Amino acid sequence: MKPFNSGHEDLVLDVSYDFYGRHLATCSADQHVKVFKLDKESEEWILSDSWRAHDASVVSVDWVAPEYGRLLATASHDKSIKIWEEDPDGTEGSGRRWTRLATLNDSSGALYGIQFAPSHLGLRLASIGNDGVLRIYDALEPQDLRVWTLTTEVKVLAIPPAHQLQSAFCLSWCPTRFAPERLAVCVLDKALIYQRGRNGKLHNVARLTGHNGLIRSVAWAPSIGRLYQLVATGCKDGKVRIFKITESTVSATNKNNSMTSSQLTKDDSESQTLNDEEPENTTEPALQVEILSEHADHGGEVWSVSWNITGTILSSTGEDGKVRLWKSTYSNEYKCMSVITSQS
Amino acid sequence: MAGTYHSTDDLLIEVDWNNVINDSDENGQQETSTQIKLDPSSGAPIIPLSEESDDIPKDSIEMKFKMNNINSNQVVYFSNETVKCLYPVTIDEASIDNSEGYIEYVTKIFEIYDSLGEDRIFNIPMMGLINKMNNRNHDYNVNLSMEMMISELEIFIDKIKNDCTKINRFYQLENCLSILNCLRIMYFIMDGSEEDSVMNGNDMSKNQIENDKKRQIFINGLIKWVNRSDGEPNADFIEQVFDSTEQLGEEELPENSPQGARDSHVFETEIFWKLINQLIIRGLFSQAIGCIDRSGLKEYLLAQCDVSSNALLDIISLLKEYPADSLSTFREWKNLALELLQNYSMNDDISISGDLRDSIEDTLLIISGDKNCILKYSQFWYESICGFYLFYIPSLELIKTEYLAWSIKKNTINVVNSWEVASKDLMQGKIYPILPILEKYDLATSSFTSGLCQAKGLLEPEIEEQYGIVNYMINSFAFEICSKMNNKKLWPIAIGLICNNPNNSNTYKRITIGELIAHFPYETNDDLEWLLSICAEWKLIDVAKKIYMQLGNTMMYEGNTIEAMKNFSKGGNIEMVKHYSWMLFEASILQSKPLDDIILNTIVSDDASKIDSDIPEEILDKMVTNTMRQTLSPYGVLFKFFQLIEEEKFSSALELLLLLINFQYLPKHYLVLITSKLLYPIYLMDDTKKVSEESILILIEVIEKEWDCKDEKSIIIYQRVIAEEYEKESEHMNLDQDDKQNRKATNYPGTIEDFLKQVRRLLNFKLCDDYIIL
Repeated sequence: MKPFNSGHEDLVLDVSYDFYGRHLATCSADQHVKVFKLDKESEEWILSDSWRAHDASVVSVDWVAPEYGRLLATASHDKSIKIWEEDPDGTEGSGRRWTRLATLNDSSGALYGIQFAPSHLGLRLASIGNDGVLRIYDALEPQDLRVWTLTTEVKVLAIPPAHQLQSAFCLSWCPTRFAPERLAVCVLDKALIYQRGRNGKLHNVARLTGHNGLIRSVAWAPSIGRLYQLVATGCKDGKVRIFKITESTVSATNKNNSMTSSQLTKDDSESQTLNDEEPENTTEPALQVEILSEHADHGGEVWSVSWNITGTILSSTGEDGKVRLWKSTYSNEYKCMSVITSQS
Repeated sequence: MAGTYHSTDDLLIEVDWNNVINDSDENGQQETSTQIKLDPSSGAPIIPLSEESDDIPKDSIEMKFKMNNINSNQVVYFSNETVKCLYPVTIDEASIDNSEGYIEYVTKIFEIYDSLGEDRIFNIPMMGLINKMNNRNHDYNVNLSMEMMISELEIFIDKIKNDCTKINRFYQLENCLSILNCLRIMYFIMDGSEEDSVMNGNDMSKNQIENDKKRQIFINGLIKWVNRSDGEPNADFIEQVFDSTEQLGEEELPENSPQGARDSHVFETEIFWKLINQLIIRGLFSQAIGCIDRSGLKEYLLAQCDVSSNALLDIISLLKEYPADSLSTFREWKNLALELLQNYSMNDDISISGDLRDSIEDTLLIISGDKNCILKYSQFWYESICGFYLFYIPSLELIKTEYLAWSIKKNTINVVNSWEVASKDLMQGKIYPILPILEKYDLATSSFTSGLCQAKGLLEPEIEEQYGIVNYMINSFAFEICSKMNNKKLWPIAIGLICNNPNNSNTYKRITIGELIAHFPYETNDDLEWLLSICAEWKLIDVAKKIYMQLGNTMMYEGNTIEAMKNFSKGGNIEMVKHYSWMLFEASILQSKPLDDIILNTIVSDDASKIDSDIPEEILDKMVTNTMRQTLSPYGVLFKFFQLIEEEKFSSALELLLLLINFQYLPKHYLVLITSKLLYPIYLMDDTKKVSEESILILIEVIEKEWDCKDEKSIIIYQRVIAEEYEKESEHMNLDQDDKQNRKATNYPGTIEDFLKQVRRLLNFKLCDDYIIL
């Protein structure tokens, strides 16, 4: 497999594979989105279509779960999210194979990250941008994908950062169907876990602590075969961190980084549910968070982290121009198993 | 007794666990780099991203990577202006390959483990009636499984041994085999037979027969372990021994000597006797006898010295008669060997050179079990262990205690050979440390080995309880083979492993399978059936629904609407079935005729012969669910309406149209559609078509009640109707572009409100018309 030219005229800012791993979507600062498909014979990525998707850099792209069809979501610094549907009859390479179904313009700041929720939660999409607000949209009628409703808004950051300052925002859904709806949201150097409560609202139930810089990337691991959750972060402080998250009883919540949602609401003035008119008095079971691993092997800024399909291998990339692959031992110790270097 | 580990560094982690493959050769065979550098911070192997990575800047580069569901195809990208390329990389667990041989091997060893059934669990009966026979049966079954697993590994090795692209793999598997052979002889054969033999004395009891059988199996296993592990002394070396003395003259040999004997006096060289004794110590008796025959020693001694000749013939007889199958006969055999040694060494009538006599005497000392002589002629520690067991005292317990200590004192362990280290650990009772070594070479072998060790009770329950190492290994292997999404043949094994792992609770199994199975890369109907059978077995209703929905969307993407609806229906998504049923309904009205879909029309038709359909009823039944029959019924009515129009039965057709218009679940925008596309052009605009008063009143009532000029969908659909009508008129009239822009559909008002007025007006006309006729 040889390197191939993405065809983008500017920085590639994000990539996403479809559920079957046979389509790759890329987005770029050139305002374009491209979709490549994997040729079965040659096992090479072939360009299927390319189109101008936004009026500013496209920073994030994600595929919907296959039970909802062939949809892509894109987010941009132009403050909008767009939902695209593939037309199987559309000519490849025409720039018209993907039709825009919806444009969501609720953000008051440039968007940084979007991700579709795992399919068991329905057709749901989360976004985070530099207005510091986590927004969740739902297609309440899956047969009409042109209508997306903003169902949740959570102000994760009290004051948006100044435009001239470097900032980082990212999010990742908990993929398991056997846990309540959760997602990890990172704004600047803060990493928080939100969980849907019994009252149907999102509550901040835990914080992933220890970050000493902007959090560049967060990835919630598939928890296949595990009765606990793992979340990895890549931080500007040069560290890859892996957090173990377990269900916790309320009595245990004062330990470590976990606390009840009511405590968090009181303690963390920055976290407010915008659509929460009543004062929050629900005591949701919080999560027990512990840091499993902390690795500074990249020797500089960590740019991305991602898990494999079974959550057994973590990849990280950093300023050293290397991809590091981490695997855990039986005792949850993570060790670097392989390194891919961009430097010859 | 199971061994313990000393640190986690020793356990289940090997830094070259996986290979990152960034290129492939012309044949598509993936080859790993031969010169692998190690990362200074972690010791992990470093693999270059690409040979063409010179254009990547060296400093402060924003490099990113996202893992793909299919391991073999993922890309590294750079958020950097100078790097426009995406770099595909492959991350694979090195020992899991796609070859048929490997799949067969894994399948076979899984079957072996699976067939153990309840014996996968090791139980120590602590109370009640303790049935010794049950324990024996358990041990027998587990031992047999280990033996069968080793056989399968040998078969697999045999398949790849001549494949030059798999040399590394071959050596890795050979290492596994050596470790497994040692594990088997130490823990999977004897099972307390030594204690039994002490208890029963010389009685030829049933136990003793069994023990003798075990002894034979053990000795064969021991000889196999020693000789397969290093392949020494090999044929080339033996040839060298004989070649080294070719330069010696042939004149001293009798004329009738065999060709080999005439080659030289090889038996007068030290290297020859080292070889003979090494072969004997390694239990390679027939090879040793073959070398003696080839050397011409027998003929030489016959001519030179009767005593020595007889002694040699006796040695050969003893070797031929070595009682591997009986401990009691061994005692007699050993007495004979000692007697022969004594007679020979005390005999004064020996007329051969001192060196040759000493050599024959050394061989006699070895087969009489002389410790020093065995050690003297052993080149490797494992050789002397074999020699001690064969000729000194055949005791497994002594191997673990004294033989190992004596042997490694004389010949140290070569730590470069991990099989030697693992074998030593096994002899010292340490089982856990061999697992990461096996894991390094082959994940499948290591996982099943750990399972068999647990079944045999070799692993300490406390450690298992605390760390769950076997659990970890078996589950990890299952996950690894599922991570290899492009190899679906191994999925049933992964699911089987999770199901059969005795350490997994049922809840754990259900959750894990539920998470995993949704990623199964199904392609065929067989795949799907298997997938759904797993969902049914584990009551994974949500997962099954999810799969049906995926299938439904795939079918819709491919244009198979009915198949898609069937899957949506099976997935329990009634809304989608309804939605697509209405979409079909809408499409049919918009084209003012039935859809050109033979399956759909056969489903809704009363008489299949009318539409030339030859789809058998039973197939149709499989393609349609009850929900679909219900939701497609409006289309069915519409279909009949078009048939009646075709037959010019306008009154009957109108009745059906009224049924549709009056249908309580008809979305209100379809009232506009039916009116504008069917009622209006066919009945209202045509003065010759009579509409009864009753029908007109029904229409007026429905329109009064349901027509909503402000409904967005109604407006959109009316605009679509007039746009299409206008398009049709334009085509008919052959208008140019400018004319098209200025024209409107002649028969349709421009707005829905005006259209409603027009409909009302025409209905009034029809009503008057009806009265005038009366």
